[in-house]
Amino acid sequence: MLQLIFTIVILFSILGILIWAYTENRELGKTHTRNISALENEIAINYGQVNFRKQHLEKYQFMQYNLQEVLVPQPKIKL
Amino acid sequence: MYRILLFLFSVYLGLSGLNAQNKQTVDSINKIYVQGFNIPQDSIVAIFLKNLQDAKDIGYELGRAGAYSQLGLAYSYQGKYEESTKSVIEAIKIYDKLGQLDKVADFYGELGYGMKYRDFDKALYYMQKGKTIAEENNFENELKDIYNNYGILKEINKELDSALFYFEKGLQIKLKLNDTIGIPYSWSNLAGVYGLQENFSKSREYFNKSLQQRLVWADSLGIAENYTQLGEVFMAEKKWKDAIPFMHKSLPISLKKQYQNLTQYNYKMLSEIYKQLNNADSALYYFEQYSTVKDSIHSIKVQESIAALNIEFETEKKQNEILQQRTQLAEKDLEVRRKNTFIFGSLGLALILGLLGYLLYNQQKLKNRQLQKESELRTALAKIETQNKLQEQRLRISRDLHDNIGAQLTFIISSIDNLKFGFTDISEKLGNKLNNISSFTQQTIYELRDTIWAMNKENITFEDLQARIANFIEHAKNASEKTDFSFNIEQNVDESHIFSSVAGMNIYRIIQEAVNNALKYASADEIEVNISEKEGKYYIEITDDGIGFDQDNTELGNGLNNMKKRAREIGGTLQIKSSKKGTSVLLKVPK
Repeated sequence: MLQLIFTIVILFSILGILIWAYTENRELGKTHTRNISALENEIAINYGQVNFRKQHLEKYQFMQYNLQEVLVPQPKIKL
Repeated sequence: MYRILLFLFSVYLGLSGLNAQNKQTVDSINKIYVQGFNIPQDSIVAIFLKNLQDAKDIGYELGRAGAYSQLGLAYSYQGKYEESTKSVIEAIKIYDKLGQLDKVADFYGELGYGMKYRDFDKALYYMQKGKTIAEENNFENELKDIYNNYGILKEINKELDSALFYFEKGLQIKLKLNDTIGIPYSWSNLAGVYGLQENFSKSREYFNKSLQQRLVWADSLGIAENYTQLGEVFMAEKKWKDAIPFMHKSLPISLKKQYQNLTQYNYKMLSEIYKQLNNADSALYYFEQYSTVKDSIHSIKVQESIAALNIEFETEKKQNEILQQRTQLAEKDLEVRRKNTFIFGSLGLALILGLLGYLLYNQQKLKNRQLQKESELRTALAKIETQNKLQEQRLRISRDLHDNIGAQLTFIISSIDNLKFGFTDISEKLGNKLNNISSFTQQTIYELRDTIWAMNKENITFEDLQARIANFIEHAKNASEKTDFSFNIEQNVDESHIFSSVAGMNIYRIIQEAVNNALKYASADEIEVNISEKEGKYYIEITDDGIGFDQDNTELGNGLNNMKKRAREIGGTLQIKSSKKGTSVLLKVPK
């Protein structure tokens, strides 16, 4: 009888631990995915702004000296 | 995960195996033949009480029922009829719960028969319960005995017709089942009742039937009993002489088989018969024989009692020893159980701790991997953000610089133009000077723009520079149609090279200045721009077939000085060769 109670307690403990570990890992995974997504989004925005600047600087014509056209400030960037 | 489940399954199988083994032990103890077990009844009761507890511990219901029925038997031998009845009823309840109704009927029947002399009403009640269950379910095996025993109850209660009815019913089933041992008993029972009813012919008929059957099976004791009973029938009819041969037939058998009670009874009956026949000698003789057997039985009984007491004394001693051994065994058993429980508990705890450790370790590893990836991304973001902000800041400063200084320089040009128009009487020398200042200021604006662009642009590819030079030459072609232009790049030139924006800008401006000079001052018909690569340097040569100029006697103008200054800025050299056949400007730039 005692052995049966022991077995049941152990089995339930193992089951509880497995459920806890599964839930915890799933929560960690979700948080990680959220963080990564936010960081990647930020990086993409920055890359976009850098590329925008580069593309405009490419438009500088050596014979026309059209500097006014190629220096386009981006007000969204907080300095 | 799979390994963990496999382990748990093995634990379950182990426990199941242990359980099956315990059931076997319980069943084995329940099969002990109580009547033939030569140890004190208290010990027998103790054994079955322990067995009952073991069966309860493992939840083995059939084992519990068996233990209760055996306890009932053991208690009845002790004379503890109340406990006996309670135990048998517990067994019946369990069999009933398990749906084993044949056993229920059988135990009710036995219970009733067992208490026929103690409590006749209860005996009748239990017997009827057993009979009803057996009849409802047509349990013929149980019914043949129940009917027989029920008939005996009726006979005790002087309900002779009823007794005959049930004996007859029992007999019919025995005949149907061909129960050769049971049939003569039923016939004898019927014969006994007929005798009590003074239906002597019927009584004799059934005793004879019983006798014939027993003769076939050579059942000596049964044969002897039947001979005596037949004699008794004649005695009841007061046919004394007819009774004598039957008693004499029974006597040798009972003597041979040492059936002392029957022998004693036969002698007694013979003494009675001869007494009735006024044969005093024979009556005395058989009475003496009767007394001898009676004494002998008494003596045997005394001896048996002494032997029994002896056995009891010996067994008490042995019992004490057994009790001591049992106590030791129980202690050892308890110790082993404690150890097993401890080992089992420790293993379970170790398993839980191991699993917990493994899961925590894995979780930490996962966290580390996630943090590392997040950290890498944060670093990359910080880098690109800083770079982006720096570039943006530089761009805004550049724009402010261009707007402010550019506007001021434009104001200077405008002021000079106003001066020239406002003062019509200025000398030619002053006019030229003002023109020079205006032209210089314009050049400053252009250079300011180039510098600002180069400051913001990090680099320029060879291909981009090549396209811009080709565009310029195409433009020059359109401006001066009588001049032939050619632009060549040798095959060994590394076209994948990337110049810094300052270097690219200066190379372009040097080519532009050289081509403009050739057009403006040399009256060239053909202008050629060649780019080649030697010893890790770019060789950019601009040649024309114009009138040339004397380098020793000609003061170098702003244009040529600017070209040299630009070449120095990018770590290159500029060589100018001129003759009457044309001019060559060679720019060497390190890669």
